[in-house]
Amino acid sequence: MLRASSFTASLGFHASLLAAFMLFVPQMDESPFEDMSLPVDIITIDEFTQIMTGEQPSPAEKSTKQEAQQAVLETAPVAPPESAENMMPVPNAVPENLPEVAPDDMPAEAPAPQAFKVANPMPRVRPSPPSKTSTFLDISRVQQLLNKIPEAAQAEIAEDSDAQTQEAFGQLTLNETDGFKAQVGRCWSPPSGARDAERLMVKIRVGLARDGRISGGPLVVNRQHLADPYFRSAAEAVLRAINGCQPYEMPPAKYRLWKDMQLTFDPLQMLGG
Amino acid sequence: MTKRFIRRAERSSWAVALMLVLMMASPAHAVLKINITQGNVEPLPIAILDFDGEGSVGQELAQVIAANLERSGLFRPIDRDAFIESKIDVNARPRFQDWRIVKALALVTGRAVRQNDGRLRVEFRLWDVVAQQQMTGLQFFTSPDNWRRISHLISDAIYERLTGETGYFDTRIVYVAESGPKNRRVKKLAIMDQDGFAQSELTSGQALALTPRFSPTAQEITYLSYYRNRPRVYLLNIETGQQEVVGDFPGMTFAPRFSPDGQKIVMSLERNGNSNIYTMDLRTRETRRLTQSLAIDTAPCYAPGGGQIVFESDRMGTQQLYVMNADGTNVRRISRGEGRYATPVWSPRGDLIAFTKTLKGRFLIGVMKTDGSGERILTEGYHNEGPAWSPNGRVLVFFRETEGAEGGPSLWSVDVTGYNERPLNLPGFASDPAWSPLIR
Repeated sequence: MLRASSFTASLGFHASLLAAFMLFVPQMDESPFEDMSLPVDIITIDEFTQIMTGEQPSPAEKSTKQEAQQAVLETAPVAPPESAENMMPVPNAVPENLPEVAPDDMPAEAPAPQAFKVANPMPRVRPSPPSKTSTFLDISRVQQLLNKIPEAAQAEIAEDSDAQTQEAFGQLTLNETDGFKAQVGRCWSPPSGARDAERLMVKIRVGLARDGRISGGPLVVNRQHLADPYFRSAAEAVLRAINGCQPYEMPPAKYRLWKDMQLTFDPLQMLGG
Repeated sequence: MTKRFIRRAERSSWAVALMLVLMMASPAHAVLKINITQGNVEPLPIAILDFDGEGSVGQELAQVIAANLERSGLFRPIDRDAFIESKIDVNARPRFQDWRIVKALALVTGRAVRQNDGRLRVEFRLWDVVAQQQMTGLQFFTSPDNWRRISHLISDAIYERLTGETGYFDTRIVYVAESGPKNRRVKKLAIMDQDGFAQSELTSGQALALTPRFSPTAQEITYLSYYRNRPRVYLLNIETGQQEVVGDFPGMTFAPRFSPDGQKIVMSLERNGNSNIYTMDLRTRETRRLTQSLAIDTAPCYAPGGGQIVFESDRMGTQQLYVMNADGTNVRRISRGEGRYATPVWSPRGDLIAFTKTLKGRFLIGVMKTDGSGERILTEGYHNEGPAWSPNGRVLVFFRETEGAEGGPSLWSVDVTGYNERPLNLPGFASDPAWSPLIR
């Protein structure tokens, strides 16, 4: 009796210890390659030919469309959409052959990255009987689209799809992070003649609001060097850059991904000759 | 009793485990990490308002400060025509928005007022326009005709606060002013403020004056002259004008350099065809030989800590740079590239050695780290020679020649990053510059 209960107690303690370890030990996820990921698409020879002859959209759009297609197959057999760019982010609707949307009907915040404009696939696979019409098809939404709903409502639709966006797109694209880096880098003038200037790396934590303005911080993370006048001057140059270059243009549908950032300003490449 | 305890422990440990698992299961708050490695090195745009006060001294102060900062290459004073407000009380908080509009990142306001006792009181504030905060503010008292020094002190304060580096504006440059035909040049020692103001002569020109070297601790220089055709070293106090003879040194071609504590000088002396390095204590006049080679060892210069000396030697065939301990031990070569290296000068910051290099008929001035790595050429020009460091190790002054029979030497400066090469505009020819320590 004693042995059994002490066994369970021991098991409990070990479980809590393991959980504590996994939760509280600092994350070793500082991959230097985090923002160097390359989106890779595997396409068939036919698709490649079609791309080269201009009949089909490029693989980047294709991949997200493929996901959309997967969802389509699960709910209703509908023909694949023509072009990712023309599709509105609509929750609970499947991509149909929507008529081409005129450019001025596109949502206001509609720059290049097409990925987030594709209709979202179902967040979870819901087993449903294959049938021509689907219970998930929101007829009223589709009709609204056909009638070209105004921008405000479109923005609202974009917002609603936030939760699904994060699930569907776990990180910003290379273009998006490069765009942010260029915006900040434009204003960043590191002290180039300082002693060991190439080693004056500054880490900043900053929070952004949806409009791209700073909502929290910026705060110098590696504060222990602030007593060094060179580091202080480098940190101030970084703070001037971050504060001075706002608001930042970022993909609004991915707000949850970029609202809290840790930026490392590393002049080694620039100054370390 | 024990059983109850164990059961309780069981339950609580399960509860803890469950709690921790639940905490883990909740969605983690992800922080997006981005590395930024490309910036845009640019001079900092700064707005300098005329200082409040009677007469023209407020405007003159602002002008000298703006000129100093602009000349450093690190700041870009904003054209006053662009200012939205031109007068801000030194004790008032500026309307930072107005300065954001003209793209100023920093703002200087100030006031210069004559006191009842006749002294001039100058105060200033440096503002961070983006952070909307004061960065520094100081006040000075001086005699009214000393306002230029105040503007240099203010320039240094602004420079230090924004770059983290000690300033260099409250300094002087001594050089050799040359005149007359090329084959019979008259060479006099001259001195000026680092911004070219207040030029005056220190010697008459009756005897040649060459290679002035500044003491790092005092406003004193050594220089080489000739007395009855023999090289003679003088020690001249800039402030008092008093001068004394250090000694006659047959075979000397450069004036000695000071040790960092100002107590010793180091020099090279030629004897029987070879040249070696000696130190002399300025008080006892005791000399000590440091190198023993049969080569030409010359142009020695102390490291700012006083523990090492860099010099030029051709002991391995061609002129190269060597470093040794201050007692002459542990001699090692540091220069690695092609060409002939000469006149090494150790940066007062301690991290770099500047040098001249001749390579295939080209005259280069460069810097290298103290172990010889990281060699960078800063400038190339006809007969580029004689680099001397500013006291903060950020700027080099040197001289170069214009070619031809009517040509002659002139002074130039360049930043340690290789940027901002510019002439020091002096009337007449000038060579052999030496940079004073901060005057304080």
